[in-house]
Amino acid sequence: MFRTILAATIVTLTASTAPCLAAESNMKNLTFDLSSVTRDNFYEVVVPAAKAEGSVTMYNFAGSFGDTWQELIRRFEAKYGIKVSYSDVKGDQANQQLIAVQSAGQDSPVDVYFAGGGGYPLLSSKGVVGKIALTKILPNMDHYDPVLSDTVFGKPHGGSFPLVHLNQTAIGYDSATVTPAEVPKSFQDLLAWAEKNPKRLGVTSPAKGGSGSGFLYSLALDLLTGDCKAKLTDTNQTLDEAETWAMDSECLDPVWDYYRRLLAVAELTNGNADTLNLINNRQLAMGTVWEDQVMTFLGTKQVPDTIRLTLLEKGQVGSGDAMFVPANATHVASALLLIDMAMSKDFQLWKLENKASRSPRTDVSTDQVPAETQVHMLPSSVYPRLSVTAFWDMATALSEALDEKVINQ
Amino acid sequence: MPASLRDRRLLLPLLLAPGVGYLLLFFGGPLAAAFIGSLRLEDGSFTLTWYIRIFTRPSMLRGLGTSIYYGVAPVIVSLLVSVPLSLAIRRHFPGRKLFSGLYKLPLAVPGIIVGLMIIVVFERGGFIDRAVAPLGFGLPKLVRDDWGVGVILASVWKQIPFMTLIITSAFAAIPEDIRSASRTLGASRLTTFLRVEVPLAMPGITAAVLLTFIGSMGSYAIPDIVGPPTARPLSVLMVAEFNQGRFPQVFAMGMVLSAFAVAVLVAYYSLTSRIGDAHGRGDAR
Amino acid sequence: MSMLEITDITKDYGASRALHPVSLCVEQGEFVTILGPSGCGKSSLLRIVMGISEQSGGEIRLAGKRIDMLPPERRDIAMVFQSYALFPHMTVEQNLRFGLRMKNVPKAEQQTRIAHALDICTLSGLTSRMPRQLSGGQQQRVALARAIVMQPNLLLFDEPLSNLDAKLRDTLRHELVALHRRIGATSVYVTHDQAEAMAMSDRIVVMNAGRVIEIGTPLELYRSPKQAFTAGFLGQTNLLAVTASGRRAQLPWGQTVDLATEAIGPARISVRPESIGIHPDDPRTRDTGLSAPATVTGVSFMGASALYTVSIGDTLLKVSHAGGDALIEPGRTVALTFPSRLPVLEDRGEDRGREDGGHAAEAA
Repeated sequence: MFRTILAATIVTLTASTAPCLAAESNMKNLTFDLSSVTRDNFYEVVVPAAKAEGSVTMYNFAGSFGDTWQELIRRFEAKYGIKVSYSDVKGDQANQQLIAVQSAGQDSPVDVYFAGGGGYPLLSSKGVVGKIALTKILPNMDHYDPVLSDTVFGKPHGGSFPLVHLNQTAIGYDSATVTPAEVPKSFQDLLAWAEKNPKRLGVTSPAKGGSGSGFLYSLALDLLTGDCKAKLTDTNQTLDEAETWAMDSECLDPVWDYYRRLLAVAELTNGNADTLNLINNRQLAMGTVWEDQVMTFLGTKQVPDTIRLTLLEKGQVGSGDAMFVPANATHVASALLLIDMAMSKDFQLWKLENKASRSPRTDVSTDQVPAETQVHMLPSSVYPRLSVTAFWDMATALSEALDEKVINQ
Repeated sequence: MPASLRDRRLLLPLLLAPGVGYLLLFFGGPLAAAFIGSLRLEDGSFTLTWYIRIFTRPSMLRGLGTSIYYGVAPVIVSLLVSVPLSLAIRRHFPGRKLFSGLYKLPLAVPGIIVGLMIIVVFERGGFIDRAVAPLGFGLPKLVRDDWGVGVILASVWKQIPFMTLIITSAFAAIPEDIRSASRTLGASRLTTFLRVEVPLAMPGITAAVLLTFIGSMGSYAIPDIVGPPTARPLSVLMVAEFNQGRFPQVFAMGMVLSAFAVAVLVAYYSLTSRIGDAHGRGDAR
Repeated sequence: MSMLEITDITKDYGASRALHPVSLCVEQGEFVTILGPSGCGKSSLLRIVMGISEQSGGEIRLAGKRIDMLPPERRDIAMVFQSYALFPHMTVEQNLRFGLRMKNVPKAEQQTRIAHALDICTLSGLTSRMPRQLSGGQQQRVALARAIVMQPNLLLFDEPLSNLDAKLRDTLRHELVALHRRIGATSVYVTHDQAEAMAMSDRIVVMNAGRVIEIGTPLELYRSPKQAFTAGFLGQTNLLAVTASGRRAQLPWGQTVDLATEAIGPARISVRPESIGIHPDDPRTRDTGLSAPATVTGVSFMGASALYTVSIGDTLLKVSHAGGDALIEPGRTVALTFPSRLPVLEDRGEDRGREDGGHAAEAA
């Protein structure tokens, strides 16, 4: 009898406290009082908890970021003495793994996941993303971009899915062959240049690289107006809805027409790296690129030193990738500490200078990096002015429709 | 021995269990699961949507055609090289030992490496192009070309050793006396080859053809890296769909691709049945 | 003019010589056997004649026409292989028709020839079988039929019976010779079986270690071999070192015998076991006053005869005795009688099994 009463009491207690906790966090394995953590007491509370955990596991989905994170880990381990076990993963596979682990109610194999910025809708809908208002409590997020602080590509995330790295699609050109006067300023300029210089412009296949699908979406943003544009940018659409619209809507006819003309004179390439490789081989003089990848390729001398970047009017999409703590992570305090360090001004500047990885911090800009590095980045005359927000599901939908309506016709 | 084991009706399934059971478990099971998966919507209800998409979308139809093309074309080219090659390495020539070791090297190279190698070496502006440029030559477009020549070359490069290995041993298994007998009966070297050796080597050639066909039809890395972005085979499209998380679509594509692979095999068998069948009843001693 | 003339054919493998100059003539309608132990070069010679192996030197003429430069398919020779070498992917009939089609023989003629060959090889009823559905003897007959439909100038046989069991071999041996006579073919037959060679051949060519040792009819070679190798390879023999003076010779133990030819000084003779007379308890033993007694040391009963080992002086002799009511027990003293006109061997070598054999025999 006594037992029954006790059990009933526990149930009642749990029932009454659970909603309150859930509103704040869905974290399963907390060893410290997360709800009491503020920016001011962050280190006081979190550092001892993190040291007690002793280690933290990190996944990285972006192959090109290996050495960036090694640098971060070196600094982190030196400062806190907490061991980081690090794995490079394939984004799609890791996402599926975390979803499976979450639905099975098991502990997450990873504490900090550097994931593609476009993964938020999928991961959050499956409950994988730990609901922690990182942008509100991490001390190093006090200069964080206010828009990104609450939304990611139009989706509200409450600070749980902060981008730690921004990257920008762009037009790259070899200044050895393209004169300053020829540098296109708009999509129409670009098409005109391509028609004048057949097979000298590389367009990454939208199905095979973000610099291609980003270009496609940017073009749509440029060409569409009114209701069509509203639909194009309505981030409440699911991928299926976006696909249906992209396949059926007449709004996009100007986009398809543009591509028909473009592909007649441009080289469609097999990926971001393929485009850069062809520029390096001097087969292409211009192509769709990612700003940060150009920097990486420069580091290994895989693109000519004469490469320059620009953005087209009325803007090209920028993207970013986030760090988050899975809901069932087991080393939460260390995870918070690691993300906090990743957002430190020091590290963000290092990342900008070495990787052309743009920062969501408002106090980090290219003015702070050496001039010889600046020439290989987007000039401040176009960035961030012409950087527009990506809507990757729509970009994917557009690229599928492009496949059916233009490429395979 | 228990009485039940002596009952033939019971004994037979029991004896077959290790073989058939294995097939059912590890082949039939996944196949059935994939087939069922390809007929389901997210909520579990029955649908043909995924198949309809394959047969209505231009990219998918083209993908199917491209898959078959990437399966068949390299096999034909490889066969044209492998058969003479296997005849050549049967003979004695200086450096034969070194050659018969070296030609097998591509076997050890994964497809993705081959793809990257083609990009580095055969791309316009790549290694060879730059090497011959001073002589006034230029390489034709081999990478991303509309006919997938680069893909075919890469597959061929990878297939030839395997094919040659199998075909060489198929020819080697023919007793020398049978070759000689044919010659003594008035057949020239060529006629002996066509009328006696090829039919007798047919099982080996068939095995080589089928295995390489299936391999290149399903290959992903080479067409993805070297092929044109316009015509992507189903294998590449499947990975794209997988990345979108559309598993039923992936299953459906797998089903269709498998069905077409089987269809091509059946067509091949009926084409070669005369030679193959005649040998099937024979027995190379 | 002979049907087949082989002149000074040699075969070298790098520095080693597999065939020393070989010369041989085969007449129209003749059945010639090349006999020798394995590795003696007999099959090499056959393959060179066929054209499936290339000679290093020498000439071959068939029906007067030089053929050694021609590929096998243009030599007008057919061959029966030890392995039969039937085409496993063709029926019996297709096997037989193959050569005819290659030679563009008209359809009607093909039909006649195949029917005839099937008939004489007793293969009728098996025409649509595949080779693997036939017994060894049947396969052998198909191989034979496939060769004879070609109606070649020359038929070659490479140990065609050696894969068959003893009984079948015996039957086929006779069938084969009968067939050879019936179709009037010219045949060269290679074997390592001396019984087969003696039973079938018009003439035998004895080969050893890449050389022709001796050529002759079976009777000549058996009765009066000129070479120790021939004497030893064709049947059993006793090789004895003697001291000759004219037509007489003294055996090692002092007994004297008659020779077929004159000789002076040390010589070797071959005495067949069945030509020695063995006489137990014969009064002549004492009467002739032999210097040493002969003693039976061993006996093997062979059915039609008994083979004794007889010790006389330092020599052990093989003596065969046909019939007889009772075996002579070992230990008995016997008298030995030798036939007159014993063949004197040309070679004086000590060891009849020597690898390099005797001198190359003169071409026939």
